[in-house]
Amino acid sequence: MGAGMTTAIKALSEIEVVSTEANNSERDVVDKPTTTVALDYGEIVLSNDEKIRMYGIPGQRRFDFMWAILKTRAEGMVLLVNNDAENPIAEMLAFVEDFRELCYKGGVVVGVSRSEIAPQPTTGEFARALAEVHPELTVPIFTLDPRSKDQMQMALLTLIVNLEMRETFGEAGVQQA
Amino acid sequence: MRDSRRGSTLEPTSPDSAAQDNGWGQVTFAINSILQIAAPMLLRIDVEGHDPLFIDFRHGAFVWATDLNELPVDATNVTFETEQALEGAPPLFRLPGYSLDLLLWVLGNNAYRGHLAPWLRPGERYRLYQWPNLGQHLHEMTQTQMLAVLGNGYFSPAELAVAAGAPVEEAYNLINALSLLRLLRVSEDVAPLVVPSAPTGQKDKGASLFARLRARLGR
Ligand SMILES: Nc1nc2c(ncn2[C@@H]2O[C@H](COP(=O)(O)OP(=O)(O)O)[C@@H](O)[C@H]2O)c(=O)[nH]1
Ligand SMILES: [Mg+2]
Repeated sequence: MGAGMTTAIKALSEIEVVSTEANNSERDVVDKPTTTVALDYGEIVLSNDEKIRMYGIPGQRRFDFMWAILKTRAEGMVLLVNNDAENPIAEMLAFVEDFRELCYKGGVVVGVSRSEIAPQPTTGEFARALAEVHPELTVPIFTLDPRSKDQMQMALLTLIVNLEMRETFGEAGVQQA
Repeated sequence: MRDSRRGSTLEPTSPDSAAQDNGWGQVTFAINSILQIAAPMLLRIDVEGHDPLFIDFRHGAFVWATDLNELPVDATNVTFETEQALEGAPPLFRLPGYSLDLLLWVLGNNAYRGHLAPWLRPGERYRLYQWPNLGQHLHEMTQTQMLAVLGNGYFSPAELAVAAGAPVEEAYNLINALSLLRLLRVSEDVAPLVVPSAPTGQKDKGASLFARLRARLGR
């Protein structure tokens, strides 16, 4: 939460973004039978019969039933990591573990937000931590301000081209090495 | 400061590249040499019409009054001096300054104008092992596409250009920058990457999603 997910979808979407906010205080309400899930939805229309659908899914574990849905449906993911949080590198590593398959398909880019507030760790440190666990993974990792439409479009295009180039060259690259 | 331009270790090895020098070639070569040996050096670069540029290699930082985006591609009268930082010597300027990576990206992409940097050898193939932080570097989508290609296998600059549909000069520039940033694996004996032709049916899919979205967003 606070990584900029809602902001990111708003920066990209061409339609009015549908957003629901989770109420933090609800966690203290003992008898409540349901929990609100913070969720965002936006679209980019490519043609009459083709659009890019974007879902903002919260990162907290208690919402991991949403991740399961995402894993079967999503083509790719921009993983927004709040660099001002407690341990952003550990957070990234946990997601990479969970979305391993998507990562190996080239379907994950990491956007490090709030880096102007918290410059450390650097993207190089993120990359080195990832390389220790998955030395054969080359994941695009970059600082990103979700408030910037320009940067969000860049992130989305990077994700798509990374997926497509993996599809084209990934197998051959494994043979080559 | 000692003038190192006369020092033999910093001379470019390829006479070809000297001919291509736009003023930045020698400087970039010197910077690469210092990075190669991880020497605790200080570097002062003077470009006519600009305040001096200072690099403190111990801290991976630089300062310059000129905006990097204005970097004169053809700089006349570029001179530089290197000095060894004595143990415990204070930083050359007030830290943090700017990340040296910012300078390396711009110099790598511009110093050799579409030719291989003199410290790289024809015949080598390169593979990306870590992405540069594109959030901090001005870049074109063609460069992103080349990076995505390079993340999957070893390519020569010419092979990279073909794979990404980019001019070979741009492939050389990017390889130079990534090499300067220490983000490449280098191999002299890996075989060319063989891509099986697309299965029929996939062929008439038309432009890729990347190409279509790029056009749609006007980028
Ligand atoms: N300074 C700064 N603020 C940001 C950044 N990313 C998001 N924000 C702000 O953080 C707040 C929370 O963002 P929001 O999109 O609601 O986060 P979410 O909880 O992940 O959906 C908003 O006021 C954003 O404008 C960033 O990179 N830097
Ligand atoms: Mg939100």
